Amino acid sequence: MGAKPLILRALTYLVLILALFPILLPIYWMIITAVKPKDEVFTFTPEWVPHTVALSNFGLAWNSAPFGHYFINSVVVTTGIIFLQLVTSTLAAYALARLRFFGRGVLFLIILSAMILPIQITFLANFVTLKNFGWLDTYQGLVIPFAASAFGTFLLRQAFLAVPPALEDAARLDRCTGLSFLWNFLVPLSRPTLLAFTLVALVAHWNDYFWPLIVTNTDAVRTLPIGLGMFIAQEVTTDWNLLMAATLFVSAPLLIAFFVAQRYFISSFMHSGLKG
Amino acid sequence: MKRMYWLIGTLLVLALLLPACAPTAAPPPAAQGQPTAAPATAAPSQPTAAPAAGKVTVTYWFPVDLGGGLAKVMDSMVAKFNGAHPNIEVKAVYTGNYDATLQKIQAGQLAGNLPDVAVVVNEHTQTLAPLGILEPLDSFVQADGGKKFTDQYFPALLLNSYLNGKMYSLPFQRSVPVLYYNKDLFDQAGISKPPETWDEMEQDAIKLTEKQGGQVSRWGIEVPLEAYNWIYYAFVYEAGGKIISDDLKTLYLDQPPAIEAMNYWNKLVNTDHVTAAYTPWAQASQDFAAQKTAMVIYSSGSQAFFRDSAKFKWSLVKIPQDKQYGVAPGGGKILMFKKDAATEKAAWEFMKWMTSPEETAFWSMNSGYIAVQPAAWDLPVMKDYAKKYPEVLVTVDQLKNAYYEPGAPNYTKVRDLLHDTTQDILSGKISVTDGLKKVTQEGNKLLSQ
Repeated sequence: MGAKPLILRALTYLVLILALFPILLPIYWMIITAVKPKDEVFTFTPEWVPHTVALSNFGLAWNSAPFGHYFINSVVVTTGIIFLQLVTSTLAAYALARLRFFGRGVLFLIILSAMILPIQITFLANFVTLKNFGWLDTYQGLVIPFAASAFGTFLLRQAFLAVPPALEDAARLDRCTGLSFLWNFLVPLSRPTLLAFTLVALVAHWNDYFWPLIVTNTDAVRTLPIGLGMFIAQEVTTDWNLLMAATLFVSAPLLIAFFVAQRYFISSFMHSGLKG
Repeated sequence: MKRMYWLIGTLLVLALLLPACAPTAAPPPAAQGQPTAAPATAAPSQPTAAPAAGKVTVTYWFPVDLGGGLAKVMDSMVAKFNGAHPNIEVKAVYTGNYDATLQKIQAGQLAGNLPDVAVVVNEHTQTLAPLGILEPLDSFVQADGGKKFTDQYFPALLLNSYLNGKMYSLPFQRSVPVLYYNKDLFDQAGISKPPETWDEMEQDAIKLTEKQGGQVSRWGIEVPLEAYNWIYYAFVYEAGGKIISDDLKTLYLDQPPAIEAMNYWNKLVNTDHVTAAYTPWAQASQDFAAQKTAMVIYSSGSQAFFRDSAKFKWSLVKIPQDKQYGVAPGGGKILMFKKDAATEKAAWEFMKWMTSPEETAFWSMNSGYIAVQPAAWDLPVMKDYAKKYPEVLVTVDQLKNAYYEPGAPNYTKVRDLLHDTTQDILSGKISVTDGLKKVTQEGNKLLSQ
């Protein structure tokens, strides 16, 4: 593999930098808005560099709601959901991809169609169920309704199907079948998919506002997005600088997770698959 | 061929699933259609709360609709109430914005998990009362002096408290639309005083609109369009009209004053070109702070925001008049759900306390809402506040010309229809008269359901 011509490399970087722009711009705007004093947030011409840096915004934002509490709750709830989703999705995907049983195709179709249902359709039924269990305003109430994921099942089934049958035959010779095969072969080989799914689920549930707002009533179990919601004003203008300051510390764990996962992502892509 | 099976299979499953989901897909109308389904006496709403003997627990749901930090102010008021009432424990729950609060109430109704007291947006008194879940307040009011009790509040703020002759809510966080204007830009344009009539408002807007290379760089005025049609209602009342009949069954939107009001707005947009056809509500106040518009018709609750954000001199006046001044006060009401007698008694104490002169003054100064009792404005703290910011008195003055903010069973759909049609009219998709005729005809059908 020879070195690419300089011009080609330069072009590649140029395209990448241009693509980076629309992604970084909102993050940059969030950061500078977060440190602007109130009277600099709205100006006739956009201010790209703040005149004065008001770091006090972070303290004000942090103290506007019990964010420390919310942080812990968000971590507990999101971790719980992702753990359960990984377990149930992996097992379901294994059954759908590798086992033969009556009605498998129809079952898969039903799971697929579950992906198109928005939460607003199922929320009343779920809410009444939780109420009967006495699970309103509890961690279970936030986690259990999301214990299974149609999207995760679909994604992992596709990944498991992509593993060549030859590998399973080889494993069978070594007496490695069933769950043991799943754990020792399919899961490690599908690591990029698992990681991608984890990140998607992480973002979705870390940011979920609607469900926690409906089923919780006390700060003891409420999560971060509810704290963010308190900054949004419908009737008059939102305090954007405080909202952005709060968004910054609420979204920081996600940004860090992506940053860490990114290196791992590339390496796991490079090690997957059979040698051709 | 295999693909064919997949396609047919998918469609079949979807066809099976979708009808099954349809009834649950639209909970609000279904819930409204069955007023009898409401639990008349709901179980105590907080099974986890084990109050000490003799202590009554009141669950209180509140939305925050004006800027950050207000949830904390609310918590401090509730803490103060609990401190002063050893026999009552109010548990305050922040429930998002007005819409989310309504959703939470509707879910709570189905699950028998309603709060004892809640703050809802003005028109939802008339949405929730027909469901049979609200406790009428008349007997409590009678016990506390009847008319003498209600006379403590601004009459204008009680307009929306009733349905079918029964009182269901007390005014809590109220606001009116007013006209904000940029004094610096008025000086530059050589305009010596703020407009007092529709004509003056129009002429000033023409003078204040600035263009650069054929593009508008600054609007003369912004008339934002928001979900509650607030500004249009004000225009109709100013033109001497009415929105809805007293029995809440007939719309008057095809009558001359309603047409005149829409014609005026339409003229500002499409003849004078001094305001955009569509300005989202949230954008308008930001535009005013950024001097992208010289005037804006906006909520009186926005004064604190402009004090902090505007780097220029501004003030506010009543919305300029046509035949008369007029607005429909908006904002939130505090109301009570049907519970056992002890809980309701405690809930009533709490509602009275929250709307009392001292507390409504405190909430007003912290939030920008109008203090709901005239007596509040005579308190020394409030007098100091009005001396510091004289413009707050304009909002009180505006209450003298206040009318009913339309609310009726099923009105939410009419409201949305009017909002969407206004947008179509201003963007030229339908004429003023045809559009309003359509709203009136379809709206009357909705109201008679």
